[in-house]
Formats: sequence, structure tokens, C-alpha cells
Amino acid sequence: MSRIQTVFEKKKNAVLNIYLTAGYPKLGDTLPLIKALEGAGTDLVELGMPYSDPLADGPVIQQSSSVAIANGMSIATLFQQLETLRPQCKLPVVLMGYMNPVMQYGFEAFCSDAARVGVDGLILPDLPEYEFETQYGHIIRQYGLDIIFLVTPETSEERVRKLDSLSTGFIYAVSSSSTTGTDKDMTAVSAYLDKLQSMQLKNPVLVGFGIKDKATFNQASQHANGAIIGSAFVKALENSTDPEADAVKFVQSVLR
Amino acid sequence: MQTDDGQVVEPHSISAGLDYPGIGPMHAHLFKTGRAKFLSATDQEAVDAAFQLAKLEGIIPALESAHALAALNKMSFTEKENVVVCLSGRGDKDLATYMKFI
Repeated sequence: MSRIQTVFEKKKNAVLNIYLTAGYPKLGDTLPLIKALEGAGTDLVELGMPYSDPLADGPVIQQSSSVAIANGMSIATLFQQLETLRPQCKLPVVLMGYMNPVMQYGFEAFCSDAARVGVDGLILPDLPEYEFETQYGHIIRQYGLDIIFLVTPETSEERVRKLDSLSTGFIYAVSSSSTTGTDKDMTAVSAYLDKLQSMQLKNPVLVGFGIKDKATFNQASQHANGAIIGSAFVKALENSTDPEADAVKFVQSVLR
Repeated sequence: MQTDDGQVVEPHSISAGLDYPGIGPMHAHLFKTGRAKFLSATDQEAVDAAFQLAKLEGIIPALESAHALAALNKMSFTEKENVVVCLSGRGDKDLATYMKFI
């Protein structure tokens, strides 16, 4: 059983996944922040690999990506930083990023290095299901990495079932068919999340996009296994003089 | 157009339609299989070719098409060869840019 699956084995509800951009706010902050998040009670970490054209991300994460790239962050640098991630840190880490930098790195080399440093799963929003099945899926599986697909309210039931069958770890329910960091009324999406719940998918469901604080996290947790907080967390680190302390403070404000 | 890390590079072209870092899969395939030859043109070469067409034929080409016309000056043809240039757009949209070169 993978580290991600173990989390959901132990905890069926209110699983907190925090998104952070690798190399933000400072190049060397990635690993200390992951450790701080683990200490503060985060269940999972989604680590964004900054990309110049982050098409699924809103302005806050876009901005953090630009800063991270300017700081010198790259996939190669990230893997170097993650060399000392394991074994002391037990927190499951999911890498989120876009296909272009991954293909430039070399897809198999990427999967191999990710697995070697202790990464647990991948979220690749611009890897289509067909290409996953025909070209890339077997490589991801070969290195024992989980793959997490995204579903939106517009995704048909048939396709949700298909993506569920391909995903391992969890399903990423996008609460609106837009980019991250947008304000959305959670009640508007609860019907959609309840429908996902009633489908009895094999994977747990985490809600992303629009979760920003204790209230929205708790609301999302009533309709899914937990949620992912991205933009709000990234924003909390903006202009921070002590990112680790601010990360802990943020997580505590959500969990307490 | 990208860095070694796969980050997309901010491109430059005098023509809005070419000011883009990507290329379509069909062109990429034609290049890779050697079915087509690809040439480049600088901003100045494109403008010069546009002015030449305007003087010779009274046609103002779009800046994008002007790049294709500029290729004519880089190739040599025999008298028996028929040459077709795709004049894909009109240049009245680009007059403000052309004026700067007059």
C-alpha cells in the first residue's frame, strides 16, 4: 500500500492536503516547509513544480511560479533538494506540474528520480487520459508512483468512472471548471460532490480550488474525504519573513 | 521555444501572428520527416519584402505573409519553375507598423 493510500486507510474524513510551490518564497524553503507542514498536522503535501505557463493555476500560484523560476527552481534542482526528504519525513508528497518541463527532463528519468527521492504520486493536469493509457501510464506504474486525475462538475459520469479506474491514491475534484484561487460558494458545488460520493468510487475524493480557510475546509470535508488548500496558503507565505512559522500558523488556523 | 528546463521563452516578432513560442504539430511533423524545408526571416527582411511587393504589385501583405515573401530572396529558382507564395493575409491591419519603417 502506498504512503498516500495509507493516509486514507487511517483517516476517512477531513484529510488536509496543502499545496506549495517548490522554490517559493525562497529557493531553499521547499524542504523546511514540507517538514513544518508535517509537524503542524498536514496529511498530504502537493508540491508544485513551477512552470512558465501554468494553465490550471490562478494569479496567486502563477505569481509564486514566476518567483520560484526566477529563484532558480527547476525539476533537477527540486530532486536535489528532495534527496534528504526521506526517511525522516513521513508525509506523502504528490508532485504537481505540467508536461512540458517533465518531457524536457525525460519522462522516464523524471518518474525514476521522483520515486528514488521518495515522491509518492503525480498530478499532471495536461496529461490527457488517452496519452496516459497509451504512452505514459505504464512508466508511472513501473516506478510505483500514484497518479491522480482531476474531475470537474462538467465531467460525465462515464468519464469520472474511467478516471477513477485509472487513478490511484485519490481523485482531485475541481470545484469549478476554472483556475485555482477563485472565490466560489461551496454550497453551489456540494450537490456535485454529493453525487461523486453516491457513485462509490474506488478512490477517496479531495476537493481542490476554492478552499481557503477553516470554514470552507470543513464544508468541503462534509461532502468529500478532505480538501486541498493552495492559493490561500501560498498567499500566506507572500512577504513572509518566517515562512516555516507562517506555514504552521496557517495549518493550525484551518485545523483548530 | 523553451529553456533547457522546459520553461517557455517569451518570444519576439514584428508580426503579432508570429509572436508566439510554439509550433503546430503538422509543421513539426513536416520538419521532422523532411517533407518541408523551413526558413527564417528577420523583422527587417519581412518589412523589406512587404515594401517590394507593394512597389511591384500594389499589394500590401500582412506582416506574417511578408515573412514568406522574404524567403524568395533567399532561394534561387530556374526560369521554368513555377513558384507559389501563400499570401495569407492583408496588410492594412499592419499599416501602423509599416509606417515606422517608411
